[in-house]
Amino acid sequence: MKKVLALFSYCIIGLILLGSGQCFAAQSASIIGYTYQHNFKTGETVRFTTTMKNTGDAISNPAYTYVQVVLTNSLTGAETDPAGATSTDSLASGATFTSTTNWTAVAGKYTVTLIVYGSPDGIAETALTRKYGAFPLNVETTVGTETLKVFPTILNLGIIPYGRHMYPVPLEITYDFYLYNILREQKPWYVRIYTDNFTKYKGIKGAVTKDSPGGLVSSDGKYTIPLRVWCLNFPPEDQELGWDSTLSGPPPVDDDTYWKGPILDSGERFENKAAWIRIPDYSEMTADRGTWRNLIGQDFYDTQYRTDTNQTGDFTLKSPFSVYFATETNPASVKGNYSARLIIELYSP
Amino acid sequence: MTKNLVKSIFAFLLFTFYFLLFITPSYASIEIDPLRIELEASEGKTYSGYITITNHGSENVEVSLSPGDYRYMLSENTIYPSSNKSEFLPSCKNWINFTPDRINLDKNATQQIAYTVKVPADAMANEYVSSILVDEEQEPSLIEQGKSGQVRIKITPRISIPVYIAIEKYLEYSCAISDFTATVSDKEKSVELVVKLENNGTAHIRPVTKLVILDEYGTVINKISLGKSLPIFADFGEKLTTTWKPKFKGKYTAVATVDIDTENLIQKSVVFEVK
Repeated sequence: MKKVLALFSYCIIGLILLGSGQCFAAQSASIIGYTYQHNFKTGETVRFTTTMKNTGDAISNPAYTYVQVVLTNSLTGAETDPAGATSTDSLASGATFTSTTNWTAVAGKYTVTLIVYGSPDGIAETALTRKYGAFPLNVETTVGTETLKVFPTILNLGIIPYGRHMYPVPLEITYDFYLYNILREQKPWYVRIYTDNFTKYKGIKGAVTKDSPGGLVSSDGKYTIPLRVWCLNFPPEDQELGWDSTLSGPPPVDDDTYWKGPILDSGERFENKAAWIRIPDYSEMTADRGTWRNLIGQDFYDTQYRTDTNQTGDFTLKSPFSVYFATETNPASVKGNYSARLIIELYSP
Repeated sequence: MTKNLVKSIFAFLLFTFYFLLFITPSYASIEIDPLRIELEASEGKTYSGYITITNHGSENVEVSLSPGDYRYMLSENTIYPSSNKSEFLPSCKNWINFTPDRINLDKNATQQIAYTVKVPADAMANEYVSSILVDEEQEPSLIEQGKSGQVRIKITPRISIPVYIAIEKYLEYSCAISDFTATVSDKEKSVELVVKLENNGTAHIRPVTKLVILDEYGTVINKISLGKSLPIFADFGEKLTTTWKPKFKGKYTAVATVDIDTENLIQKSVVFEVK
């Protein structure tokens, strides 16, 4: 008899719980806007503001909802969940609520995820919706110490071999360039490479055309040997054209695919996809950015400054990065001593 | 075959050894402040300031300063002035002097270099531009006399400071949204929003542009930041483009707001329908 009573009690309790569960309002929400500034110094307060719309039933006590900010360190993958998000336990269906979270900045580069949590019974929480911040959050300790280093500062290439030749020891460029303006937006910047040979190069007297002064200039100023450059930002792209630069380093210079560009269906070479690119002289560069040889840079018009898959940004490389040089000589190349002044210029307009 | 391989590896290692032997083992780094000079100046007056240089490197460095040409950063988004107006601003590089123009800086040391900008009395243009080139000089690597086949590349890290001088008498900051369009692509299920800005003032501006998209009930559906533009010179313009993917069909209004750091914001709206 006792067993039957117990079984009956369990059934009743179960029905009550089931019934009470059905009474909880159905919760759903959408994020209609969010704001946070993107660049901070360690110790500053970052304020995240997320506006959500209640697309479900009205929320009333004990139900509640709030937005949890999740920061994922793009280098280590570690997650940070800043506490103290403002919540609401009263929100009509269709109404909006703005949840704010303050976080004391810790150095790192983070991607931002905003998750709306809801609790229909005031106890258990479920994630209703989420949105990923379009811009990552950067917290730096060295704001204002913009630096640019190169190693070595003089390259002695020795005797230039016949044909194409890549110099196996790269130039290492270390940079720490972190600027932001009053709106905490990063300023655009570029590091470009060029030679400054205009005063050194004279060309051959009486020649019909004058060669480019870019590259290496002979000690009498008459002849030049073009100098080419490659860094990880240059083609080929990952797995493109059968060469993985990330794993294998600079593409081989003796393959025309990388030296002249891949062959198009028309039989012509797609020069814009050549991996090894000629270094121009300052005198050849104009206001057209196409005439520049940018190694790295960051531009406002790109929204991919830093993402999970591109941890340093759209056209930046992790510091330090390597720059390789190559030359090409032919039977017309003139024997002698050659030199160049190579400029690595950091510029922010 | 194996012998050849060993020979090749040995030759490569030998080459690398000699290469490393001949490279100059210096490691230097300088920091510059400020990284931009913007002056509102009057004709016939001389202005002065300081450039602070800090050596963060592991050894002493020699730094030189020289005036240079302005580095224009124009892009495919740039809208050029009408044909009867110049594309480039006059240079003020001859107005700039340094005292001294070359310094030796110990490691971890900081030094200020005074600069003067002497604006001529006959400065007629609205704005002048140039650059200050800060070069980390290296020891000259001389080519030995009587020996052929030597190749030396001297590498100079350079930080370029842009200089903008607006003549106060003519100074007026102004910007207009000359066009704002929304093109709905039914195939792509997206909307291309294009904002065209025009600098109708006398000096360069750096506008910050934001878009807000509202549904037909006036609810904010999305906010899109188009960022802060590179300097837009007087009579130049900039085309800013973004793509928005609506989730639902309906009538929408996009509002573009431009802030050029003056009292008033500039706004324009466009209405479009997603079917």
